[in-house]
Amino acid sequence: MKELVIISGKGGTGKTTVTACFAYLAKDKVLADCDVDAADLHILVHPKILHEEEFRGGLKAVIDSDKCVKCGTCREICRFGAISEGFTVTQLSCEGCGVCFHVCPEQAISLEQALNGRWFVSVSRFGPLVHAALFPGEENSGKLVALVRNQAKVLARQQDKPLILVDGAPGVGCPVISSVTGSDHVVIVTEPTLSGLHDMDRAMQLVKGFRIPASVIINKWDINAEITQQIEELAARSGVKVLGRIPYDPQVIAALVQRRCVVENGPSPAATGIREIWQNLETDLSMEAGQ
Amino acid sequence: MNVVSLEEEVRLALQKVIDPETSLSVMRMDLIHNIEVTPDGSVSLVFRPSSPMCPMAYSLGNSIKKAVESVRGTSSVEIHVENFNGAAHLESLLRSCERADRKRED
Repeated sequence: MKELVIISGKGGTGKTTVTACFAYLAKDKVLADCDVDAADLHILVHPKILHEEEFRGGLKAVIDSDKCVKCGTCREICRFGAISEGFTVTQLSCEGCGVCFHVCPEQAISLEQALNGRWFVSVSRFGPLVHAALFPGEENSGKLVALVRNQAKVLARQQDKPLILVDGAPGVGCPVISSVTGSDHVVIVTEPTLSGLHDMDRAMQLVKGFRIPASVIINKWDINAEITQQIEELAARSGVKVLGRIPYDPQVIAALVQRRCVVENGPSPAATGIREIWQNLETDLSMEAGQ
Repeated sequence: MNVVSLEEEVRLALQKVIDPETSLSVMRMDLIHNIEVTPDGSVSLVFRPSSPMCPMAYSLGNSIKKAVESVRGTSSVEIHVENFNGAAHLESLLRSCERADRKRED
């Protein structure tokens, strides 16, 4: 079983659009949407939820008003301003660090498991999908990503699927690290802008740190040919293969508006580019499996 | 207790070993494979941490061993570790725990 993770460094480069196209093109796979802070793969793959569970990954402080003597120690020490003047905990601000619990002289504060989000096992038009939604302002997305990836693996083993396609999170933080660790191959989708170049570099360094084979896709490459060249040079210097370029194509937007992938909508410059990239990637994955 | 009931009890005990990262049991995470029970109460199983670098493997391995040992009718527990970079080390630690426990009993 192979686990292919698609990340981007910078957000908004077309990571989920490319993942959905790969999901359409790949034959036998399980999908995992690990961008749990802003999950959106479901918009394109139209899942029907079969199983749903709560995710409780963190703690929240709760003040017992009967025991509280309003001494103010907790308010003074809380770095997140989560304790109000009336000595109640503002749930959106509380990070669950537990400092208030430890300093309260009256032992009036307890730490309780917080409901941070929900996760789902679904069937989608492109195959089984494990996905999740972290509630607004909630933390511990790395834990939820680990859960989603694990359940995708369990599903792939149960259904004898040889491939897991993971839509990762943008950036290089906890959810991204949780998305890529122990995977077989990482694809970094970037765009020819200065921030795209900069964040691709950071994503490459992260993946290199975990010694995971990686490759790069340049989306909308023709909006700035000069930076596209810089991306290709940087990738070459870092020993990372550029799988291909996808041109800017209004057909991509037209397909997204229909909640479809561009590769489903007949020939177009972007669809051709993505199909070629998928063929290259499939060849690379087979070669890596043989090594 | 017969072999089938003992295996069932072992599975139930393992449902209570929770991975702190996902809050799911090691059984639901599919980390336990090939549970085998003999008539004399020997239990063997394969523990496959979720990744070769799993930072919780040592702690989980210990919890798995203790959970199985706590089942009435179990005479010994053997854990084989797979898909983990420190598999041999973890296996030897789990075996040495058993020796230490026996020493304390003596």
